[in-house]
Amino acid sequence: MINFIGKFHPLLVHLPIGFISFWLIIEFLERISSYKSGEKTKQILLISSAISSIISSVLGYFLSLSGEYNVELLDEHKWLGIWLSVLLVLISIIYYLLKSKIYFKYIYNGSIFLVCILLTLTGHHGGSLTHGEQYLSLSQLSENKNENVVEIKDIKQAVVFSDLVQPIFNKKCVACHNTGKLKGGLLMDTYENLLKGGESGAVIIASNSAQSELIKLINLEPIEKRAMPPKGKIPLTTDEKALLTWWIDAGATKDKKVSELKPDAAIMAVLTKFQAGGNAHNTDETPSLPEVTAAADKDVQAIQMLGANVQKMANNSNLLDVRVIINKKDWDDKKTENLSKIKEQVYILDLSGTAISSKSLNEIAKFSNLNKLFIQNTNLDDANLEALSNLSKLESLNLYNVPISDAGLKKIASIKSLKKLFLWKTKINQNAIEALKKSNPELEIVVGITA
Amino acid sequence: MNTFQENLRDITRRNFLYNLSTGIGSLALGSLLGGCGGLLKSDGSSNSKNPLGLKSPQFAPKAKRVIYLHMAGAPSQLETFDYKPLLHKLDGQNCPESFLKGQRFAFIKGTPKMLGPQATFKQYGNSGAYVSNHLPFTSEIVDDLCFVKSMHTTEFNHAPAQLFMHTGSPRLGRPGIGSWVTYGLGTENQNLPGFIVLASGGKTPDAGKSLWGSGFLPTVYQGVQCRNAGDPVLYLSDPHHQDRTLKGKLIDAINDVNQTHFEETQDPEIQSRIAQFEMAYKMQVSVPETMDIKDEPAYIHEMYGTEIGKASFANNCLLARRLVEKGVRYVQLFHWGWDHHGESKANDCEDGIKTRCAETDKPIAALIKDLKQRGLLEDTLVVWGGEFGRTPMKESRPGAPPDGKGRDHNPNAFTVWMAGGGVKPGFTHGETDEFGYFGVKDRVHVHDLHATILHQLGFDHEKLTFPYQGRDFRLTDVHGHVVHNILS
Repeated sequence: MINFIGKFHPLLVHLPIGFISFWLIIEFLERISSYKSGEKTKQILLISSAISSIISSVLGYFLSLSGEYNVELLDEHKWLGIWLSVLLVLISIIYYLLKSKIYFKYIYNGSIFLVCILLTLTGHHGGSLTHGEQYLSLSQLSENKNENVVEIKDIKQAVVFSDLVQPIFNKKCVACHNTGKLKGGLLMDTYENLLKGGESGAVIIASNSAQSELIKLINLEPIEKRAMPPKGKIPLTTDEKALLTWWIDAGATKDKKVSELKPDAAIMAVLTKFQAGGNAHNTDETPSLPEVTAAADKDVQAIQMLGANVQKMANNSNLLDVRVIINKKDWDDKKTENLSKIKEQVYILDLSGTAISSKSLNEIAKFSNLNKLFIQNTNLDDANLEALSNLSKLESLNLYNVPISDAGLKKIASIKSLKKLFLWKTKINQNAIEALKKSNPELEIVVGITA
Repeated sequence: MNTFQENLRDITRRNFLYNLSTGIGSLALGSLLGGCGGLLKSDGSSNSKNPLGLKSPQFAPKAKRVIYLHMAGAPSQLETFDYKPLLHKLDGQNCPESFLKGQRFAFIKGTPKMLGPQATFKQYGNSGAYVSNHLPFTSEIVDDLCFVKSMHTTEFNHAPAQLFMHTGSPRLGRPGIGSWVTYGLGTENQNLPGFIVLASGGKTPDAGKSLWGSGFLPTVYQGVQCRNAGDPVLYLSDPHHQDRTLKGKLIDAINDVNQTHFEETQDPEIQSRIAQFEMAYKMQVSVPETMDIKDEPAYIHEMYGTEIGKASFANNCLLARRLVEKGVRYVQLFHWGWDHHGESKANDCEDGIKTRCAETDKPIAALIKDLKQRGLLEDTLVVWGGEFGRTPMKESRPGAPPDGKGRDHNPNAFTVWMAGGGVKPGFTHGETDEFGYFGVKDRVHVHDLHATILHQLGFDHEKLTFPYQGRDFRLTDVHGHVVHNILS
């Protein structure tokens, strides 16, 4: 129960802060202007701040009993708080009793000064306790930035603990498990402290992730009480969990590099995502899409009137998925021209089976964010295919059942970003496809069955 | 009482107070969350009055469409994909007591004997996946498939287990996956239903048409079953001498009246009715055209093993491709007769399963290849599986033939494979024990499968909800985890 009441300390502590600030503002205004407040007002303010600071101190003491905080820092915060309360009580009494005395002004002004200092110090210590000692420091700011910039060039040469594991802790655990806050008695700032464990013992059992408390807790459902990071904080991603599990199973080493721990193919696939440009730290649910401004509603509606489906890629994206699904033969070059108004937003374009000619390719070439292009089953040929080489973000191109030849394939090969190419039922020779596969092994070419 | 007063009666005191307190709040919340927001906000991309209009997913999807191949009756994992050499050695021995303790079976009584795999296995493809000799065509496409060997369910009887597979609940009354998907995304082709069902093999699955029912979702989201022979949808062709323009006018007039009624009462079922009238009219042209496979070239027929005019699973596979090609969101195929209890030669795990495999193997492999060469496999998720697995024990029920080679129902382990739609090709997830009896590694529950399917379509399964009877319902109810390990 006492523990629970103690939890209101961070809330109530702002009451005396408010009262004191108000009192200080009044004193300040009286000194710089002709403004005069009533004596009663000041008296009420002083007594209120004295009483509320006593209550806060008591609640603070209850909270400190939970033992989750750094002892030294806590001790200082406690005594500062107590002295502040005592001082406020004294000032209230002095104000009531000695107002008429000649030396009152000196004592009173001195007290105001002392309250300012005590309040600042107490507040700062309180903040350090809740947010960690590094919370309010400029060096931390720049450190944080560096942390994001640390790029792993070659994952095999990365030291597993210091380059991969500790950065995860820094990002998602250390805010509570640091020398200032020490939740559960566990420190996660260094390797040694981590292995020491917390109040309830070791959190890591080398080579046995299944029995390691750390792994158990990070895999709990967020709704469970003991889940880590607790509800409301940023959870670990699937890749991060996989990495930690693997690291513990491989002996929870300190200095070993990735290659020394002999990762198998499955974990290697995860590890490569931690390399520069990888997405291991992204929250799993939202694959990232390029950001663009929204297309105008009237432009979108105009294109829909022409017979195309225009739809946002996702609720949280302005990119568009544009497909001509019905009455395909009614879609011609003229209609394609209308798409220029949404040229930045088109992410997927499906004009398969439509009546477009090579003229349309000039329009399509302007779609700067185009990722997938379906122009299969059209009457296009080699003509003007070079226009597509402007598409710097095109990853998938479907040209099946389009009468293009080897010359056309050469033009397409210049699209550097391409990852998938569909060339079933074209006039391209098998040799040309083999040559392209050799020169660009990353590109997946689908040719399909032969009739 | 006149109509106006009747409408006033619709707004009860409770309704009024509820709207007062939550109306404005939920407006703000709706726009913040986006939630299953397609319905709440018109994103400019659809006629918001059309319940099947296009809606954007919550995040960028990997799959736009789904083809679900359900082998009703539950194929044995031990004769298809889950190779268990140790089971050979135990063939004919008594089942260990530890296997039977605490388990309930549909039919097994007493101590059954173990039954070795009734097929031979080899590894195929770069991925080295094991495939039985019953599935020669499937063995050619294993590098496109993602096997989940550790599926499990809670039901061991067909009807509830099938309902569980498709609606996330073993009891009647919940919408199927296809209904949830069309509710969330609408459909790309306004001339065809968004959710189409094709059943083959002689009878509909045990759980009946509830497998593609819309449950508490508006009925416009229920699956439309197309018949195997004759008119694909009954009563689609116009009666003799009736003029199509006249019919169009008739439907317009009916819809006008319905629209007026909707504006008065705001009952969403009226919108469903309007949409269905319009759809039926458009389907008169679009369905016969789509379901007619005469225009497919000979080599495609050869590839699938289809015969024009014949009712078969092969024809349905070809139709499934034609449907997704035209923008149908969710196509559900049922094949029948996989319940190999061994009461006769024709229905055991030796000959019976061979027959079923022969009927489905070639068309399924053709479907995957065909989707791939057309570029459709990229964003079409194909799912294959039954409603549960089968026991490594021989079926022993009173009256069962002693030499019968059948297996009983096993909810603890079965295999499902997926292809396309952003799942890892040539990958196997999960393991069963040495007898294929129980999943021992990376078990995947039916709810997890559902969560994963929705995830690939761009939905957080916890956020695709529908309010009904005072609470928000989901496909996965209060369960389900996305199986991230199988996503590419």
